[in-house]
Amino acid sequence: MPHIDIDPEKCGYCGGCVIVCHDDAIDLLEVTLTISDACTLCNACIVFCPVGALEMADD
Amino acid sequence: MTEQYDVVVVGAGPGGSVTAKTLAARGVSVLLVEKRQEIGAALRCAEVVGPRPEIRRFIEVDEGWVLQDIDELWLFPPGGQKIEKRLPGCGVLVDRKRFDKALAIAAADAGARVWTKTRATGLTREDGRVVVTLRHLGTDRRVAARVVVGADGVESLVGRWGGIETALGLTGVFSAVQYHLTGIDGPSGVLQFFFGNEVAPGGYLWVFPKGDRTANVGVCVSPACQKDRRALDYLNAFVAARYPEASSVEMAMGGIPIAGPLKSLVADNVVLVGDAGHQTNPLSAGGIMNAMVAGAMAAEVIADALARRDVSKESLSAYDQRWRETAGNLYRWHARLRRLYLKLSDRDLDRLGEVLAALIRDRQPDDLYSIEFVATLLRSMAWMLPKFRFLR
Repeated sequence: MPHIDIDPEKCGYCGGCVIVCHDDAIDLLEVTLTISDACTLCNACIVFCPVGALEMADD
Repeated sequence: MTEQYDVVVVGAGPGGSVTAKTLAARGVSVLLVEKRQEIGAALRCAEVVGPRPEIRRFIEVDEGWVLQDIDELWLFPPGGQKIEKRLPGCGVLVDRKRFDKALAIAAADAGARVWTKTRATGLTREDGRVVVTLRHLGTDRRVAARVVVGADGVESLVGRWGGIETALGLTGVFSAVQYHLTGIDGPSGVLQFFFGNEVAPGGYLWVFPKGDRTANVGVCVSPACQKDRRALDYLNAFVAARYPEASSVEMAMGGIPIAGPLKSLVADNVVLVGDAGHQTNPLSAGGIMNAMVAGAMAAEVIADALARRDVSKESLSAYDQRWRETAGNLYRWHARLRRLYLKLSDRDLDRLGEVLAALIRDRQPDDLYSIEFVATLLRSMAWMLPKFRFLR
């Protein structure tokens, strides 16, 4: 299944990806970022991420 | 068991804490919740606030958290022609961890209850009230209130739960990253800004002195303009070229709303403050003072609404009107300038730099912070008219 992978070693837990998510799919708590099934793979968070912690994956 | 408060404030940044403090001072019962275990950390900010007299409206200035007084700005357009502007006392660089904590303590001292490591997970409206579900150390807690304030930052969900659409497209945000660099020799009291499509497409790169030969060095870029590089790539390129010997002792990153004001900051029982309400300046991307000003404003409106026993959207909309008059109307114009800026080539930016240098030379800070100045700037950019069609 295509989905968005979060690299916890790159993620700075800034929450900026949440504001560009129109699916209300991203949730940030302290150092845990999660992307729910509501994600429509629009790519906005991947483009936004200042450090490249988000990537499209298919497995 | 459901606990009762008049107001629940979600998020203990500067906006949330000032809202809670102002409400508590008016005798309103307030619960201030922060999802993190430590208020103020981790840093997401370049830490410039100001000026001192404005900070004093909200909290006594403590030299312990003031790291630098700012007296001057240096702007560097891509061609390198430096623009200097003396603005004595225009702001201070603060230690945000201590600053945010001091504001939360002030809120508690005024009578607000503060809970950390407590996240809001949803809200429901029942009979004119609002029930906020909170989660603290793995346990659910329900709190009934008459108003919930979403001061929950760029990742705000309170607005969305309350029916206010706060998601933004990629042209409406900055993608930002910053190092706290050591071993930097530079002018103290001077904020330096670097512009250009090779340096910071759509945004700018900053060097803000922090004392002890350290500085916040960061970049904000428009994700709509960044091509195949990211904010971090732009920052690393600058640091490698300019400060190859410097070490970073802290890294911060974040998203900054630059789309201008929301249509409305309120819904029935719900009010947004600070980044959650897109109250950042679309040109400077600054937001701390705005959040505090808005928080105090929201608190006054909420306290009045509670006294009238009417916390409907209509009753709370006085806050919308006051925000528009204070900054919203100006920021609508700043957002238009920002959208135009995203289209400019480096050549355009150099010409804009020349225009700006002449325009700001004799103007006072208050004059720069006006719709009149935006109009003057737009008039002097008439040579860019073909690009104006992107403005709406």
